[in-house]
This record gives sequence, C-alpha cells and structure tokens, in this order.
Amino acid sequence: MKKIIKYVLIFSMFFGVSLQAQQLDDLLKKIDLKLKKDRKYLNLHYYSFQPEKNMDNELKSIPRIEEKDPCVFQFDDGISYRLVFLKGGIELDSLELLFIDEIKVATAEGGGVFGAAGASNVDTSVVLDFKDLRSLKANNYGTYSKLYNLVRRFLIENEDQEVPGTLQIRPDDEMKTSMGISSRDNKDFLSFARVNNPFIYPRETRRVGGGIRGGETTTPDHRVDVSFSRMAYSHKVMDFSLGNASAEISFEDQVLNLLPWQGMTLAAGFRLLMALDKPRDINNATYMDVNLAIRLDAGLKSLFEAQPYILSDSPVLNVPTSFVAGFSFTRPLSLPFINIYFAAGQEDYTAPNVILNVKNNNYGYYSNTQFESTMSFYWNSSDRLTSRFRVDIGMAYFDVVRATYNASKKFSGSVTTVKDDIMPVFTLHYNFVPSDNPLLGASFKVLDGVAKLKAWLKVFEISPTHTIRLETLYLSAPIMRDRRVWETEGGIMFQLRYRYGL
Amino acid sequence: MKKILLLITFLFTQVFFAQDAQQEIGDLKKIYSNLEYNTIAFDDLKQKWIISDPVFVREVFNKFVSKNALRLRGRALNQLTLIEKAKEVQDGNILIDLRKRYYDDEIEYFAFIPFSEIDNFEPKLLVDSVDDGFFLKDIVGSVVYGKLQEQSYFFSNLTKEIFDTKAGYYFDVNVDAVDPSVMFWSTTSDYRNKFLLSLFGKWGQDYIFMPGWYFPEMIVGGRITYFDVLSGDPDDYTYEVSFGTGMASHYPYVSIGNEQKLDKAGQSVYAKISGQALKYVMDDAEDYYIDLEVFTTPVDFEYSDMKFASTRSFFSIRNYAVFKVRKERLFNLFNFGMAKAALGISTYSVDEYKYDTKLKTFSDLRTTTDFMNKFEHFFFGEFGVEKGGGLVQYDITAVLGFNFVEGYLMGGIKSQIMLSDTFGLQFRIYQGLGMEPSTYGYRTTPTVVFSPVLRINY
Repeated sequence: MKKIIKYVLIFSMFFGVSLQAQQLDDLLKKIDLKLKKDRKYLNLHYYSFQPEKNMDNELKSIPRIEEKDPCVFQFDDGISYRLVFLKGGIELDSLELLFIDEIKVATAEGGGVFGAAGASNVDTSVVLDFKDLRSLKANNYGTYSKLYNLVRRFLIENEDQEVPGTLQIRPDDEMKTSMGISSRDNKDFLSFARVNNPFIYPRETRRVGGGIRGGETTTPDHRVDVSFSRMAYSHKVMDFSLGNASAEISFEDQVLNLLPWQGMTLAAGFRLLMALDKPRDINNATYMDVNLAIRLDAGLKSLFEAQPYILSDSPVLNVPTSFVAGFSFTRPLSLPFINIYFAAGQEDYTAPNVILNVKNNNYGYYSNTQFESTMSFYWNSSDRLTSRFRVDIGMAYFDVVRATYNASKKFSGSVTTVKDDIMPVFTLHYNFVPSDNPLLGASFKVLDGVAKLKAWLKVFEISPTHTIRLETLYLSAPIMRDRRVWETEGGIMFQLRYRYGL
Repeated sequence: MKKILLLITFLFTQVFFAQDAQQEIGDLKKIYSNLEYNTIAFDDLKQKWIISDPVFVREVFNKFVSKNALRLRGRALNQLTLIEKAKEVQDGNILIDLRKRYYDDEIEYFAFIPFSEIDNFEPKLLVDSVDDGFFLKDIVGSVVYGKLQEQSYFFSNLTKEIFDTKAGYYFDVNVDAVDPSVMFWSTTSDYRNKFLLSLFGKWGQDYIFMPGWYFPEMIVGGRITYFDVLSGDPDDYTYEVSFGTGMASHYPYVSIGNEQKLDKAGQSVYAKISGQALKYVMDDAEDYYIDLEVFTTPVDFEYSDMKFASTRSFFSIRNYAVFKVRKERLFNLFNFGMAKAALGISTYSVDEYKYDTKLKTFSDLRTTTDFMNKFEHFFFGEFGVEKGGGLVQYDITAVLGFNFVEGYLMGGIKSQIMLSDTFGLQFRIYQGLGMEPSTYGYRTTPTVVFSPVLRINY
C-alpha cells in the first residue's frame, strides 16, 4: 500500500511538472507571437537609446538563450536601440521588459533617377526577444536590473511628458456616441449656415487650394451664390471686424406657399451679419443676421410661365411691392436660435397681375402681410457631424384679401379679408456632410396644410471654392383639405446653383 | 528510512519547483493579458458571430488537430479524448463562436462550442478557447484566418446594438398633431433641481371623450415644469403649471360626411396644474399626482368674428374641468412595463348656436337653459402600462367613463408608441356604449385620432 501511494505521488508530481512546462511553453509562444505580429493593439512603451562607450560592462554583452550569440550593442551613429516595456497593468504593478529592437538607418549614396539624393533605409531587428529577457530575469538578475534601471530612470526624468508608445489605433478619433450630439454654442448654427445659406459666415480656419503653398489659410475676395431664383454677392471689402455684409436679389418667397418666380416679385436688398459681443470668438458670440430688402411687384407672370424648368400652374396670388425684413439671433438669453421674418406691402389693388373669375365674379387675391417666427434646434447623428439636422418650429401668418373687379377689370373698391390666421409652421432640414464636405441636403416644410420640399445634390466641384449643385423644389397641393381659390395644385422646379468662395 | 527521507526530499523539491513554475505561469499570464489596449468596456458591443456551417467547422477543427493546438484545461489532448471530440465535430453538433476586436478586424476570441450549450450564459466549451487572433492565425494559417475574418460564409450575427434612451433637459421638441410641445429654456437654481419652460399645444380632451380634432379648439400656451431633483423620467416632475388660449381648429381632412358638429364660439382660456401634492401630506406618496384642468370661454364672438360661408347651427363646448388623481409606477408588469392607474371626474357644458348669414346674426339657442343644466359629468377611470428606455417605448392606457347625468358609458384606448424615443405614432379610439348618437348631436362615435410623432430630446 505504501508503495502504491509513493508511486502515485511521484507520478502526479511528474505529471504536474510536465503540465506546467507545457503551459509555460504555450504562454511564451503566445507572447512571442503577439509581440512579433500585432502591429496595432500593443499597448506598450519604449525607451530609445544609443549605447555609449562608457556604459556598464555587463550591458555591453548580454547573454541569450538557445545557444544564440550574446547580444552586443554597437556604437554607431546610424544605430539605435529601442527597449520595449510594459508599463504596468491590471494586477501588474511593476515594469516588465519585453524585447529590445536594433534600428539601423543606412543613408543611400548618390541620387535616384529623379535626383532624389540621400534616401534612407531603416532596418529593424529584434536583438533580445521576450524569452531572452525572461531568462535574463530568472538567471542573470544583475544584468536585467541594469536594463530595468535604464527604463526606470528614463520614466522619472520624463515624468511630465508622454512616453512614446507602440499603440497604432487611435481610440480618441474613434470615439462614438450613441445618442447624437448637439453643440451648446454656435457651432451647429455656423456649420448649417455655411452649407445652406448663400452668404459668407465666419470660420475658424480655412484652407484654399493647396499645391506648393498648401497650408495657407486665405479666403477668396469674391463670394458668389447664384441660382435660377436667387443671387447673392459679397466682396472682402464688405467684411468688417464685427461681421460682414452681402447684397442679394431674389425671386423666392419665404412664407407664402409659392415656388420661386410664382409671386411675380423681385426682391433686392442687403444682408448684414453682426456679432453683438465677442467678435473674435465665433462659437460663443451672439450673432444677428439681418436681411432687409424691397420686394417689387415686377409683373413677372409671363416670365414665370415661360421658364422651362418650372412645372406648375400659372400664378393666382398677387403679391404687392413690400418691405421685407428678416432677423436671426444666435441663442439670445440662452433661448434657442430665433428667426423672425416680416413683410408688409402696400394695399394697392388697382393693377393686379392676376384676376380670377370665380362664379362669374372677377376677383383679385392679394397677400399684403406675411410674418414668420420660429425657433431652430440643431442636432447631429455623431460627433463627426456627418448627418446634420435642424428643426424650425414656430408660427406663421399671412393674410389673403379679395378685391372685386368689374367686367372691364377695373377695381370696384370692394375688399374682403378671406384669410387672416396664425398657423403653426414646421420645417425639418437634413444635410449629409461626410468629412466636412457637403454632398446633399433636403428640407421639408409644412405650413397651412401645404408641404414644400427642397432637395439638393452637389454635382460638380473644382476645389472647395467652386461648386455646382442641382436643386429641386417641390410644392404640394393642399393636404387633407380642399384647395382654396388662391392656391395652385402645386408644382416643381429644377435649378442649378453655383457657389464660389463660400 | 533512508529511502523515505530521499523520497520526502525529492517530493519537497518537486513541490518547490512546481510552485516556482506556477508563479512564473501566473506572471506570464498577467503580462500576456496586459499587452493589448484594454477594451473590456466594449465587450458586449464587439462584432460577435457564430459559424454553423458543419463543413467549415470541420476544416477549422482539423487545422487545430494538425497543429496539435487543441487544449483542454491547459493540457494537450490524448488520442482517446481527441477521437471523442472529433466525433462531436463529425456529428455536426459543434459551432464556432467568434468575436472581433473593437477598433480593428482581428479576432480576439475563438471557441468551439457544442450546439446544446448555445443558450447557456456560460457555455461548456468543447476545448479551451483561443483568446488571441495572432495565435489563432498561427494555428489555422493566414488563408483560413482571412476567411474567418471576412465572414463570407454562412453565419449568425450576434453583434449587439445599443438601444437606450435617456431623458435630456437642454431642449425637448415634441412634434405631433395632438400634444405638441417645445421645451426651450431650462435652469437649475439649487443642487439638482430643474425649471423648464415650454410652449405646448393641446388638441382635444380625453376625459370628456373628445380627443384630437373632434374638439374644435387647439389650446396653445406656455408651461413651467419643476423638478425638485432631476429625474431620469421626464414625467416624474414635482409640479407643472400651464396656461393657454384656444385657437379654432377643424378636421385635418376633407370630410365627406356631415359638417363639423362642434365649433368655437368665443375666446377661451385654459389652465392646468399638476403635481405631487400628496407627498407633502403623506409618506411615500411621490408616485401620486393630482391634475386639475380648467377651460372656459369668457368672451363671446360677434357675427363678424365668425367666417362661415352659409347659415348653420352648431354646438360649442364653452367650459370644461377635469380633476384626476393618478398613481404612477403601480406595479411592475415584468418586461411589459410599469402599470399605472387613475380615477377622476370631468364636467363640460354644451351650448348651441345659430349663425345666420341672411340676418347677419350669431345667436345662442339655449338662453333659456339654466347654466348648470348645460353641464354633463363623467366619472372616469383609467389603467395603463408604460415602458421607457431600450429600443421601443410605449404608453397604452384604457379609459372608461360613465356619464352619470345621461347614463351612458364611453370607453376607449389612448396610446403612443415610439422608436428610440424619436419616431412614433399616437393613436386614440373612443366608443360610446349605451349612447344614442342622435340624442347627442355634438358627439361622434367612434372617434379615432392618430398622429405621427417626432421627438428631439437632448
């Protein structure tokens, strides 16, 4: 019995030892493979040094395992060494030396075919691998501790600085958020305005062109945004310390449910962007964006009907000559972004552009006053600002007045207000801007049961300064209610939009 | 005796060396586990998948066999065990469970797993897993490793997506036809409290069973909400006060039936106060809320204020009031949500008017009816379930009311379902029971109201 127990104990000891040897081998192999093959994820650091002739004798020749020649450091300007170590970790309190690389930089003599003289070759090889250092630690601790102290001294001397590392991934660049982001300052407002509005907005830095002198931050002197329905222009001389100014001509209407040109008006005016405080801090300044214009009743009915890129019924609503003012404020008093638009026209019914025959009566329908006030909210799908959203919510008002005309289409003097309501207005905007390069966008507006959809796509770009977009505007017929006399069944318009310097 | 001493010495030496080796193994394991950039916080979000193609599983298994890389509890397999494990692979009962690293495409976990273990939280693996892609590549070779990475074979994707919604208190934009609101300003005055200022709209009144567009006015106004301590649930406020006025509204669709039965006859005002009043008089009463709503029309319209095209008669609800006591978080209905219930009483007055375009008059047809007799009252109760967070959020409530003046029942459901608390749908349906519609000319039954919902909350 005693013999049996004895032999069992001896056997289990041998077996246990051989199992441990196998586990050790496996682990060493795994670590070795990892250190040699994993280029991206190794979270290690290194100490670069060039050996000096007066370095410790023990370090001049370091023994290696498996009958390899000892590692002898070479003293040459073109040769440096990198001692890679693990700077602690979970359940690991001390440094662990892992391997030493030898880096030889050889400069080629003469030039290549294109005269590129002096190209250097870098040759990296492992002179002490993990097993060597492990064996050194176990069997030659004196030498190991000298290497250890080199690293320790390096870390102490560079305590305030970042220690060079081998990690190739960039977790900071890949940071994701699951719930989207929204800036607390003007960043979203400015990024949206730069992509969509026809005017210049301040930037932190701007790179124009590139080439040999790439890196210079200059903006073009002229800034132009031209489409079939709108033209905006500004020059550098119109920039001033608090903001800038632009001139604009437009055939569009902001409030009324009309396609461009369908109001038969031409608006000409100026736009002023002004920082009310902190003009040098564009993200935290309070901006006021003002548009002032005179909207002329230009009698453009025939011109509207002649345009081949507009598919819609003839205009039915007269819009008189008006004064137009628009204001946008960036987060006044910590409120959301506020937009206010107001247009007031003269009540002159003597020269209508359109008279409608309704049940044998001649009527001219006019909209003299329009008003819109909205709050804008911005948010983005991620911190890369690739998908950008904006919602405008508020209220709008426009009146519709019916003037009566006799059989010879002379104004009879009778005017009736047929619409005079304050209505909710909602607009959703979307921009797709990968890598800060606007590619497409859309907006969807609902007011008074009519939907206005606008979509654009960048079709052409010569450097960031010249871009051409294809835009489509769609106006729906009234949704879920009868069409009123002064409304059309909707329509669609296509146009190209050229932007320069914006 | 000598032999025994020799044996003991030998055994102690073995133990000593064994402990030394054990220590070294422990150190190496710690070093190995710390070589990589640690992404343990993302373990449940990393790409995960299972290979179930039995032929491909065999191919990979055989690579392990040929490299003698199979291990069971750290030790290589003997022949008998290998045959036993191979049999399971041949029977097609083995799957491969894989997971990729978070920031790149390398595989960080590989395991052979029996099919019967697939639904266990900690499955018993066929053999030891491989926790390093470079070691795996060394075993299976770069070609097979590349195939594993590409995922071009039949596999089941188990990559988790995060669906979680948390309330934000910076802006809250809720766009829908029935209960729109925009929270546009907030402030904290003390510790973790919160004041919120909002604009709101309210179309309809559920507790007089006139939801949405069946009520002829949309109330618009302002609201202040107060949290004494900020909560993860935006409905968990301390008190809320709302004021508003009514604006004329109509059916949002072209009606092919009778014209609208109810209309606005004057300028109205609305007020609501709601809060955790009971918690100041009772312990543990934070989940009880008292709501009081009042709507009245103090100013009558003149003929010129109305713009009907022809003579018509219509009804108008000039006044209503609702008093409700509700309990939130009644009990947990497991994964279905949290139950809630309420009881209350509502009252409303109905007037009848005639708008005459020939006589150009706008007159009240019920001048002889006593003011209090114009009122009808409901006792009502509701029971619902509410679930927030995750991918889908919903609030489904059944409402039942008894008109104890006229003796009929009204019942129905009001519900809202949202996806990621961003897109959703509201739906309400109410039906009269034991009610003769012709007797109550101002009522339509059933009433169905729905609206898409868009919410931006951050």
